[in-house]
Amino acid sequence: MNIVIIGLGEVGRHLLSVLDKEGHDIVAVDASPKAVQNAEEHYDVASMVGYGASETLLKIAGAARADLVAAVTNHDEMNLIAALSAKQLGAKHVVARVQGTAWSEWTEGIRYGLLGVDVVINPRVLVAQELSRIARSYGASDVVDLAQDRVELVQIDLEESRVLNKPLSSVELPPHTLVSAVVRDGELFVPGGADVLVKGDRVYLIGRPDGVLAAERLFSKEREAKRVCIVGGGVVGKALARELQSQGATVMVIERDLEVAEEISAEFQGIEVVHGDGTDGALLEEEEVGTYDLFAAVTRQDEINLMAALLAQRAGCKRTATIVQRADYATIYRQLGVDIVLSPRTVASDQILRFSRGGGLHSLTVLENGQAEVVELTASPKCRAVNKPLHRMNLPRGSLLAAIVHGDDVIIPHGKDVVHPGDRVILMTTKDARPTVERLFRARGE
Amino acid sequence: MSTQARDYRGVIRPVGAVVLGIGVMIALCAGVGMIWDQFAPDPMRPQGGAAELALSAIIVSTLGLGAFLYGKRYVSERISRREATLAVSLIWIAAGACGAVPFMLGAGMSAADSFFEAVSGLTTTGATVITDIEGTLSRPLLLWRSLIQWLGGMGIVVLFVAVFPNLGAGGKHMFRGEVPGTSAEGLRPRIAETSFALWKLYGLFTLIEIALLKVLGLDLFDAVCHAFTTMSTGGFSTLDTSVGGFNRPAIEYVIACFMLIGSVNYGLYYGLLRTGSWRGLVRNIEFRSYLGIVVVAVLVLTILNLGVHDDILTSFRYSFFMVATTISSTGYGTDDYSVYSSTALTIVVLLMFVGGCAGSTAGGIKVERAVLMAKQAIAQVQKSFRPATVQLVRMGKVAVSTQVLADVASFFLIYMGCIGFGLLFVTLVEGVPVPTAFGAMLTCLSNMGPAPFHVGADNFAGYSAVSKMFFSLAMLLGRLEFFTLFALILPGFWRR
Repeated sequence: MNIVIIGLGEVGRHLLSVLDKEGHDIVAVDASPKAVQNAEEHYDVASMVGYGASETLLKIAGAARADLVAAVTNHDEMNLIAALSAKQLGAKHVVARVQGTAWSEWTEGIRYGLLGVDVVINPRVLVAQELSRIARSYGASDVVDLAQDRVELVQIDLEESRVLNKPLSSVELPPHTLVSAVVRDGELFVPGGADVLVKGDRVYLIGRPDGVLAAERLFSKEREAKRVCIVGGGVVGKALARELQSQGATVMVIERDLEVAEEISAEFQGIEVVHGDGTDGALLEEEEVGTYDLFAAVTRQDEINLMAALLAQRAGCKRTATIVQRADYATIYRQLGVDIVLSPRTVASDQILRFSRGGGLHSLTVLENGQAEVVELTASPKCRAVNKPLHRMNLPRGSLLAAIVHGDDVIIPHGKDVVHPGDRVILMTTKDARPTVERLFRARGE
Repeated sequence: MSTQARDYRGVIRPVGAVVLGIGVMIALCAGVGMIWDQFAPDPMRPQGGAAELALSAIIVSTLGLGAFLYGKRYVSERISRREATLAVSLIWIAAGACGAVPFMLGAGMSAADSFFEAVSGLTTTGATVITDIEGTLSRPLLLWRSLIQWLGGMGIVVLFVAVFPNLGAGGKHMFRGEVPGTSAEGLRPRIAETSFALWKLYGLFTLIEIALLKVLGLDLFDAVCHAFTTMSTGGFSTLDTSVGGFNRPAIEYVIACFMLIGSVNYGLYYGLLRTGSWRGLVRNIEFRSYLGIVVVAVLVLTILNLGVHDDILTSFRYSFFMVATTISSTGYGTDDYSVYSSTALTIVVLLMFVGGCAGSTAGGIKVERAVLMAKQAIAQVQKSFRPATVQLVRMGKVAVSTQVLADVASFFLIYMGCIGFGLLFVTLVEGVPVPTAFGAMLTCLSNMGPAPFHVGADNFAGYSAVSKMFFSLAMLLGRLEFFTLFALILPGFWRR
C-alpha cells in the first residue's frame, strides 16, 4: 500500500514504526530536516523535507497514487490543507488531525467528510471521551466502544477479587460477556477455560455494555466515579468536564491560569473551579482530593501530569489517570503507580492505522503496544467464514471471534453461532494471527 | 570511561548468508561450464575444471552455512549503522576470499594470486595476474571469473538487500555502505525494492548485450562472459589479447556503447522506464557533464592518435573504445596506449581519475564529485575578491548542502592520500619507477584494470605477494569508496 505521512511528530513517528513493520511503501514528509533525518535513520522509508501542504511536494511524494495520506503536523490548518490537496490530486483516503483550541467546541472526536477531508480526528476530544467512559466504568483502566456503542471492550488490572485462583471455566461470567485476552508479565494470550487468573493480571473483557458492567463488578472492587477531580482546563480538561457533567458526576477542575479558570467557571455551571497549581501538595490536601473517586491530570505537560497524579495518590486518591504526549512514557507511568495512562497520540494513530488495512474495516484498537488488535469489520458475502458455525470456521490460534452484530442484535458467539453475510464482526487477534484472520473475512482475491 | 568492546556478532549471519550464496554461484558455474563443455566443446581451451569448482563450492557453502547457522543466536533485532558498516566490509573481504578458492583449486594459483584475482573481479577492477588465460583457465573457471565480476558490478550487498527484504532500515544502512551518496536511493520507498529494481535493470542490459554480441557472430560463451564483464565495467576477458583479439569493429562498438551505458547512474534509467520521459535523463547535470567529457575526449584523442593510426576512421574506432573503456573504468584493451603521445596518455590518465557517474557500476572519483569540486573551487575564488556574496553550489536547480561538499572534499583528500601512501609503499617494496607505481595505484583505486606506465607486459603477475595483497586492499577501498572500510580502523568504531 502506498502511504504518505505528513508531519513526523509523535503521531507521525508512531505511524511510521507500525506501518514500516507491516511492509508498506511509505513516503515521510516534514519541514524539519532533523525530523526527516531521524526517520531516514530508523525506518525503511523514503523521505522529503518540505512544506506538507505544497502541491508540488505532494505530487513528488506520490500523493496522487497514495492509498492513504495522513496529515499529522502540529499545525491544524496545514493538516487540513495538505489533506485537501492530496484528495484533489487523487489520494484514496485522506486523514487530518486537529488539536488546537479552535476545535475544542467539537463534541465528537471524529468527523467524516468535513470540508471534503475523509476523516478529521481530534485526538484530544477522543481521549477525553475515553477517560469519561473509564470514569463511568467499575474499575476499568481503559474502555473502548465498538459497533456504535453496542459492544464494549474494557481493560481491568486485577487486584484481590473473587475470580482469582480458579479456572476460568468455573467463573460465572454475566451473560453476553467474554474474557478475550489476558496479559501476564507483559505477554498477551487468549485464555482457555482451564487458565487461572492471578493477582496482577490484566484482563480484557468484551461484551454488551450492560453485561460488561456486571462483569466489572465481579472483577473489580472499584465503582463508578461519581466525584472526579480534573487538573488542567485545556481542550482535554474541558471536553472531559463536559462529558462527565452530562453523565451526572460531580466535577472539580484545578487550573493554574486565572483567566482560563474563570472562563471555565463561566462556561460550565455547577462545576467547581479551583485556581491553583495541580502539583501543589498542600493545595491538593486542602481541596481533599483524597475523597474523590478519580483524579485525572490532563494538562499538556507530561511531567506535571505525572507529579500531580502521584501527589494525589499520596493524598489518598485511589484511582488516578493521566494523559501523556510521549507514548514512550506510558509504561513508566504505570510502573510508578498511575492507574490509567492514555495518550492522545496513540488514540490518533489507532484511528489512522485502520485505513492502512483497507476495505471493510470499521475500527481498529491496538492492545499492549501492538501485541494484539481488536478489529471490527463487515464479513464479506464472498468470504470463507460466513454461513458456517464458529467451531468450523478454522480461526487460527491466538484469535477470537468476540462478537457478531447481526442487524440490531449483538451476539457473543459460542460454537454453534453463525456469521451471516454482511454482519459486523469483532475479532481479537494477536499480531501473528492477524493476516490469516483478515483473510477469512475478506472476499477471496480482495 | 569504559573501554569495553562492542558486540558485533550480529554480522555473522548476513556474512554467512552471502558466503553461502557465493558457494551456490560457484556450483552453478561448475554445472553450467560442464554442460557447456559436454554439448559445445571448445578444443582450444583446457578441459574439465568442473570437479575442482564443485569442490570449491562445497567448501565455501559449508563455511557459509556454518556461519549462517552459528550466527542465528546473535541476530540483531535491527542492523545498526555500525553493524552495517562492518557487515559490508566483511562481506566484501569474505567474498574475495571465497571467490579465490576456485582459482587456487582450479588453476593451482597461490593464495595471494587467487585473492588478487578474485578481488580484482569483485571490485570490477579487471587487473589480472594470469599471464596465459587461454592456456590455463577451463571453461567453468572462466565463467566464474566473469560471473564474480558481474556480481560485484551492481554489488553483492545490493543483491543481498534485494533478496532479504525484511532488513528494514538496516538494509538501508548496508546499501549505503556499498553505494555511498544518495543518487541511487529513492527509486522506490523501500530499499529492498530499490535494490531489486537496480538488479532487474542490470540484468536486462546484460541480456540485451548478450543477444547483440551473439547476433554479431560471437561465440555464445564469449558473448556471455564479455556481457558480464562489460555491464559491470569490470574488464576481464576470455582472451589474452582482450577485446582487441576479436578484431571486429562492430563488436568493439557494441561493447564500447554498453560500457558507456553501464557507467551512467542507474536511477536515471529507472526514471526513464517508469515515466517514459527522457527529461530526467537529459536534464541531469551529471549525465550532461559525462556526455560532454566523453565527446570532447573522443574528438581530441582521435586527432592526437592520427600519428599512431593511419586514417581518421581507424583512429576514431580505437579512440572511442579507449575513452569508453577508461572513463567507465572497465579496462578492456583494443589499442596499445604505451605508444600514444604524452598528451594522449595524459588524457587517458585524467579519464581514469574522473570515472563514471555516481550510482553506476563504474569506478573513479565520479563525474558528480568532479563537477561539485570544480563548482566549489570557482565559488571560493569568487569569494576571495567578493567575500560578501552568497555563493551557493548548485547541481541543476538544487543547492548542494555544505555537508555534501565537505563530504566530497574529504573523499578527494582520502583518495589522493591513498595514492600518496601507495606510491611510498610500492616504490619501497618493489623498487619500481615512480610512474609505474603511480599507474598501478591509480588503476587499483579507480577499479580500472590496466596500469599505465607499466614496464613490460601490462600485468600484475610480477609483483610480490605482499604487494598483491596491498593492491587488493586498494581495490576494495576504491570500490567501497573509502569511508566504509576506513571506519573500521578508527578506535571509536570498536569501543562502547
